[in-house]
Amino acid sequence: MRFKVHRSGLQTHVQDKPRDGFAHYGISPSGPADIVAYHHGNYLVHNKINTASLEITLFGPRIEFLDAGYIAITGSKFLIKINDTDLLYNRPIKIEKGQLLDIGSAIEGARCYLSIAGGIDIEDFLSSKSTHLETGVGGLDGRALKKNDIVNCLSNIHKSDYKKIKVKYDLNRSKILINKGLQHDFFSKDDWKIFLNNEYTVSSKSNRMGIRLESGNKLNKVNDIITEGIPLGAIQVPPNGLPIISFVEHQTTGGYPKIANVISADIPKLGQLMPGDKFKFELIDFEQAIKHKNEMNVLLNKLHD
Amino acid sequence: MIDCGNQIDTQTHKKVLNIFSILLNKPIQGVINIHPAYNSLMLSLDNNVDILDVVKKIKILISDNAFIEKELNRSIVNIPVCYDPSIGPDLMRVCELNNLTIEDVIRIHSSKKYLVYFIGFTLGFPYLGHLNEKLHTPRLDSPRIKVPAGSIAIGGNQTGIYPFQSAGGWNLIGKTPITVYNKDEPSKSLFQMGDEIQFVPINIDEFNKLNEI
Repeated sequence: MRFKVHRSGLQTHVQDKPRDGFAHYGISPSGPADIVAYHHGNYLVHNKINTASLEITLFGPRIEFLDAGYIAITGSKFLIKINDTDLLYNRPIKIEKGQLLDIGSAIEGARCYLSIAGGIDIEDFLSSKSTHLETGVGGLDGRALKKNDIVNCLSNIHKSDYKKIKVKYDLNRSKILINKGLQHDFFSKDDWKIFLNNEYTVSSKSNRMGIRLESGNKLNKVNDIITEGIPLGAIQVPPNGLPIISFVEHQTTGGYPKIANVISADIPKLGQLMPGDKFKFELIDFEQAIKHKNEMNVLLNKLHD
Repeated sequence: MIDCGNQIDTQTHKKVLNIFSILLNKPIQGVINIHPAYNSLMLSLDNNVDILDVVKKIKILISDNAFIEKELNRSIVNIPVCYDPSIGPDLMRVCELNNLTIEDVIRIHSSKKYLVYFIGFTLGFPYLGHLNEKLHTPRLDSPRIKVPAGSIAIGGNQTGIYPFQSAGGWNLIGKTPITVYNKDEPSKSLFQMGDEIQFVPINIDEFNKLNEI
């Protein structure tokens, strides 16, 4: 199976598993922004776990399939037509040679995934095919797809049975759950009150490196720390008092204090935040966070079957 | 997060490097990334592991090996640098703000070896210590969108090399004509955490010659 890009969309790129194990060389893992939707897509088209798919952001591409095959689209709903007919979500779809897939605007969350039976066939970079857009490595020459790209996919023997699975997408993005961060005590009681009461707006300057938040109520300036490691989901507070959530292409180290951390189970939700979305943070304890994580793992393990 | 002290010095660095090599040589299942820094190591864990169990294993591993002071095997890495306003667009700014001539900046910047405390921020970016106070220069008010690969820079009280083109807010004072980082096989790069970098000044003709190779 091959496909040709007629329109790239806002930011369409190849993602498979996060590139773990190289943080000490200064490179963060990257990988899918919404790991649940990504695995769901591969599950539906009988792909092996961690097969490379396309991550599509806010406004999608127009693609011509040069061969027949099977695809699935998962994650946020977008306006999608295949040869001018509406396309069904979250199920495998048979594709004929020459069909055109047109993915328009997002109508629910920021991202969807196009999984193709067999998976995208490109070289690994440091044992992953995931594009790291900030560093310009991995994926297709380290960049998003552009017009006239022709992308090869591996062929797989498609099993026509439809693997039914119920994946409940949590579409409520008005609340993000957090645990206390390493420097939580750098912030006064009043700052914590502001932080938890604020309704934050997702800035249009957000990207896969960091989700920048806006609010009229800024946190007070606190001192920088000696540069140290930054995890995925860390909520850093730079001197301007507006938090930044480190995302899949985050810097590996940094010196801003970390007030809190988004819990693991809410990381996929971050991938669906759209510019202009408003939400509040809700502080929970570590044990509750583990419970949420275990629930997510149950779902992911089902998708890995 | 593993704390190794509360300041930036070579003794603390030795501790960090020691624990880093222990974790690298005897990997603990479930530890998926190690982020060494000046005085700490941050570990990220697989979502599927029992966090408390992994923490226990790390504690045991580190305490078992804590007293094995490994002889540090430092390499000294020479990196040719052409300090010239044509490829170091902020060289004059560094001179003016610090009341120095270009020759002063070259002499001071290249007169000592810099310890690579760790690689962080972005692929292959070395955090170097300790820049001579005479060269401390505030970061640019507005960061550049594209810093060319190989640029040598000063940011506040730090100096570093941008191995690849990236965004950056440090003052660019020169450029190296050689490829300093092997992105396909980072472990085979010119320098690693714990090595020392010696900048070797070259003139623009030598730069152009080396740049062609």
